Amino acid sequence: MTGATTDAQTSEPQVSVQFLGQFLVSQGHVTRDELEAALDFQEENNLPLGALALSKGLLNERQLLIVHAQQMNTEDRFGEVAVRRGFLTRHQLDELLREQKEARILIGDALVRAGAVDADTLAVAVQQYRVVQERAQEQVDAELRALPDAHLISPAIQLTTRLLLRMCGLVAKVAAVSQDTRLAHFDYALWQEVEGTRPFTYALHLDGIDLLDLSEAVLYALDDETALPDEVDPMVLDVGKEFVNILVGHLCTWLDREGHRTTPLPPGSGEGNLDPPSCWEGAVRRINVRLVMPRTAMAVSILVKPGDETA
Amino acid sequence: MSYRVLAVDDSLLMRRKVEKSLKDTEFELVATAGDGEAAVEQFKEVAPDLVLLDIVMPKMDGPSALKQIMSLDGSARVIMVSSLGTDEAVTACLEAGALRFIQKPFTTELLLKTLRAVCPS
Repeated sequence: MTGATTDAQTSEPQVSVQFLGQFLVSQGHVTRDELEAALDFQEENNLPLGALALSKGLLNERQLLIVHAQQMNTEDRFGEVAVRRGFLTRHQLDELLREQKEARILIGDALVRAGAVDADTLAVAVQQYRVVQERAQEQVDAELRALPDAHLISPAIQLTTRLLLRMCGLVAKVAAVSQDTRLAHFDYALWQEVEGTRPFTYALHLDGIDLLDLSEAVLYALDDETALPDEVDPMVLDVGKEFVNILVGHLCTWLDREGHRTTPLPPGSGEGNLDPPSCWEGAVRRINVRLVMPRTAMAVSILVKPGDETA
Repeated sequence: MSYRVLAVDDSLLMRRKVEKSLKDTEFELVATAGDGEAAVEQFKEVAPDLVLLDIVMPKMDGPSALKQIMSLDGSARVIMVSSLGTDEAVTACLEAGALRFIQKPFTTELLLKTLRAVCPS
């Protein structure tokens, strides 16, 4: 599909952080179904390093799980942890990385291969995407830096994207930052209130289908083979809340090292766009951060006490 | 010989993780609890050799449950298991009598290694 007119298709492309596939859809170069099919093709063919090592018999499943678990507490990449643990030699890692890179299918390649877009149109669109993304990224970074609560928001977002990647294999980008405005609709909210010198509430907002995917990935990361239902139930919410509990625990550990005293309360959950609770009386300032992933979107909201930023 | 373990965590997921980790080892999961109050009751009832105790829980948190358990039995062997790894929380629990601290998420390997390190001889 080419040349279809959409709201976003103007001479001046909309400035918004997004993935290339989403940009191509917003510009009318491909349809959402074509993008979904291309993402499926990518997932089937682009093996993560651990899966590649497993398929070649260089690692066993137990070693794979150990490396994944250790990665959750570090910034280190899979290969580095595997070498440090003695599961892979440096030479084996280099060979795996070379093989992975050579076989890697980019989303544009997958769309061209499927006939969704021609190579020339794609090349022009990619150039346009790079320009727009650079501007959008600068805008979001500036908004994040300008927040009075940057000391809290920045590590909260970094930890969220890190845990989504490490535990769920989800690559997320910060798409937008806003203050005191309503979120787009999400089916569920998972939150945790934190008492302390600068109390706050962390909340993750996501749709039911994404909560199911997230829970399944967390179970896998924890080596739990329990089959989850097709719909969100208390078990799924329990897994989601534990994900937030792990995230907030690590956030508080980081804040503690920066000199802030924190005491997290048990995590909670609710349906729809409800306002998460806060553990203090009076006014609440809410910062919403929209996260985009290749197939979906989530949001993080942080509730703080107005005035705390200057305390 | 097997060691009797009480696992305390408000997350069913984490209680199941412990159960699975202890399967076919020298450790036997004899009881679980989902909050601090239930943990103290279970401790009185089953008198475990080892306790795995979460920090952030409803009704009564881990540090408060730890104090009550230590006042019931000063030689109780308690390992704190939490995603919260602040110096204050860790130090307070170790000073109150906990023997070790494990930060979530943890591997089965680390859990077993830590349990073995504090087993009664």
